[in-house]
Amino acid sequence: MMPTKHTLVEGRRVSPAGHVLLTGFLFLGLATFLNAAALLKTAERQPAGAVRTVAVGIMDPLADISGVLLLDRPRRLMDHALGKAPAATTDDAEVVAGPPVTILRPEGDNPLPGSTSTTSVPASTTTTTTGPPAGLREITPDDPMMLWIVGDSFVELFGPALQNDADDTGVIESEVDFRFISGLVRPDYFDWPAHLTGRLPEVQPDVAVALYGGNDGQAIFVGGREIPQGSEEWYEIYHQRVGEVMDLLLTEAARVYWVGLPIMRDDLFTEVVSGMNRVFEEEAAERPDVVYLDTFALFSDENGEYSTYLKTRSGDLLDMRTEDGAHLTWNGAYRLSWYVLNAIADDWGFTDRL
Amino acid sequence: MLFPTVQFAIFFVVVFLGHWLLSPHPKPWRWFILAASYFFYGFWDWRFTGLLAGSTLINQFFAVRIHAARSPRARRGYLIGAIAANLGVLGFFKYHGFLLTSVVATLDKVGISLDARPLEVILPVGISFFTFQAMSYVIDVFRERLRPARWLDFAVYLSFFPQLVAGPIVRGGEFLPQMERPRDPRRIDASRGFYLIMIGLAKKIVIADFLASHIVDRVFASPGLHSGPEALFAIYAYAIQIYADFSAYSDIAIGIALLMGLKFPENFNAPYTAVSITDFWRRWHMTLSRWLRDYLYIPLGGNQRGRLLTYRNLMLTMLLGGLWHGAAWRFVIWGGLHGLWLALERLVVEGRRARGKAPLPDAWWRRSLQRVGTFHLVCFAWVFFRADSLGTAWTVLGRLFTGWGEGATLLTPAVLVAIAVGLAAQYVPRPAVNHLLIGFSRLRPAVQGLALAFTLMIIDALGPEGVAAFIYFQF
Repeated sequence: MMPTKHTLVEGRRVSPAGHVLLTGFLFLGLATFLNAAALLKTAERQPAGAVRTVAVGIMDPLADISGVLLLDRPRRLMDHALGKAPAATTDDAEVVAGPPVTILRPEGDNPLPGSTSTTSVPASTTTTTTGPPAGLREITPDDPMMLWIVGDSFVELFGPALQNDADDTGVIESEVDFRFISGLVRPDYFDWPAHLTGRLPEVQPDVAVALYGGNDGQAIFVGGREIPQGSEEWYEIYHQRVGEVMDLLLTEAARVYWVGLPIMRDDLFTEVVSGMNRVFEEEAAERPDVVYLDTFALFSDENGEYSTYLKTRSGDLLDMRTEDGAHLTWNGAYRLSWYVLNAIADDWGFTDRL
Repeated sequence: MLFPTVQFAIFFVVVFLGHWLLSPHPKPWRWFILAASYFFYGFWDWRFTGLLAGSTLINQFFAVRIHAARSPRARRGYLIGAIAANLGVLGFFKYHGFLLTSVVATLDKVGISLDARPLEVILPVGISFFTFQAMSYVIDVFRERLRPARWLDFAVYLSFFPQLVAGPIVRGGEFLPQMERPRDPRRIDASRGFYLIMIGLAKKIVIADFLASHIVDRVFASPGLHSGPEALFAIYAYAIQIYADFSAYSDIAIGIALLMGLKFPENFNAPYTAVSITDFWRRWHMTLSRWLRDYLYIPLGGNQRGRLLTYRNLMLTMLLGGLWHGAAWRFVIWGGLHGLWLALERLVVEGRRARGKAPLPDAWWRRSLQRVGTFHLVCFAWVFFRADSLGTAWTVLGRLFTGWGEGATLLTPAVLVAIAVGLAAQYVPRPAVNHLLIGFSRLRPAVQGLALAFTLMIIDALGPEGVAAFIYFQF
């Protein structure tokens, strides 16, 4: 015999599928209106393409209706109470990276070096030079260098790796400031120039290390017009934006080290990345205090090809790249960190501390 | 396709409708669910679906051959073939890089330079889960606990989307009979289904992702640069994070299955209330624990071949359990620590018994001490599980004994509250939750929808922007 609709499971009333569907529709429908502003923002942050167009096309009017019906108010109130910026603004992209935290070297402490750092391969040739560098101030344990590492998700592991290696020198304090899925082509998602302008006076870096471009292989929107990635106009705008960030960093930093993107597993992506690297290199060449660091060779095998696994100086074969064929593993992060730190130490005259 | 996304919400509404509309028609229903599951899996990378289909064909072939074989030798041969095929696939995709780099490093140390490099292969999401599920099916057929299912049924069982990529590891004997029985569309345990989905979202978005980004990732990235208190609370926070993250996926998977009229086994039962490591493994990733027990520990001899072999079996089981999580020595150490503690616990209990002593009387203070002790042993092992290398793990542990006079900027009230809530939630009695669900189940659909929508709004507002992938996807 079929049980009736009032059958209970541990005292709970069971529901017919129609009720569940109705509940589900009401739930998702109302949740869409309650969170419409946040959903619209998520849609707008998608890379240019059909998915973004459809998502924005759907969410835009729904966000308007939500506003008219005041259904966006509870969420706004909550965001306000939690100290979050309203969903409609563009400078609250905390994503899952969390707020930046300055890590200062504990006084009198001599932390253990990161174990993997010893396996890294310095690709840059270094000459041991000490003493005050020309045009740059002398850095000492009492008056250490302030190093600011900024960029996109490529900085997630590279940033802490460089912090760890830098800390071992005893003459560097550092801070990492990165945002997932950010870059220089989508200020509607995260406005790096605005963010840097706001934070520079607070951080006051001597040196800035910047790594951008991982998410910049997409169209640029100007006044609602889509400019396809790779077009002449796209490159013009990208040149401007890269130059703008370099100039901004130079307002406080004595020297900027702009790290180029590494070779990627996907050939098409590698082509896009090469184009962006050219922009970085050309913009750096116009500024005497910006050093461009090419990383293609550092992450290529002996045939100049992409390889997940690369040998270190000590002969260990280690995975340098993650499953996506783009981002760095910890081993890769330390490989890059050592390369960048060598370049900085060369310039600032503390190679004896490496 | 991640659960906490708009894409999945749309996908599930379509699947829910099709599922219940087609339920009276078994064959179209099976094809529909199979197509939906492959779409779900292919959303990560369509190439993965080929592996899933291959695994289905190979395992069903061996299951059918085992069942049809007349001689025990032939049956055993097919079983070995199935296990070799499954472990071969798992080994190729998951462990070949680890093995090859270990060999190259070892040879290098004795002066032999081997110019070999692992292949560029992508690790398919959830391969360990569906491979273990497939192996349990073939072994159960071998043990005559299960008859081979029809090809289509087995394909649906292996690919069923809610548990495909991160469990629970559902056995054929639990899932296949449910496909045979008609699902009554008038009897959906919706209140529990919705509850599990919402609690899963809250655990993942509000607790796990928050703790990861606000303390765990930072301390484990640069442990030498953080103070002792930060290191200590980062370890606690990781214990809560991994529980909240992994159990969230299980909760959502079980909740989704419930809305489809299907029951999955429980995967977690308040693991941090455990009074011993043995108790912990009865509460943590329960479907993996019982898999390891039934298909590894017991075949090795279990506790039936003397004390020494029992300890060896425990150790081997936990070492392989550790390796199941990933191809790295830190996972082996994590498994080894648990194996060691399980063996020691057994040694103590058996020692008391051999001396004719009665078990210690139950007392609240003893239980509390045991809980605290067990939690800290589990936390100690988590350090190796989470750290990117053994060096990092030792640095994190080293910071516990140094740097207590330094600042602790990461220990914000929000972080401490998240850790406290994550721990306290383990002690919420089940009847209290059920009482809430009874009340919810009696509400009208419109009121239920309203309550769920506001709950989701609160979860979304409390969480960081964006959704990080579930930790257990990588396993």
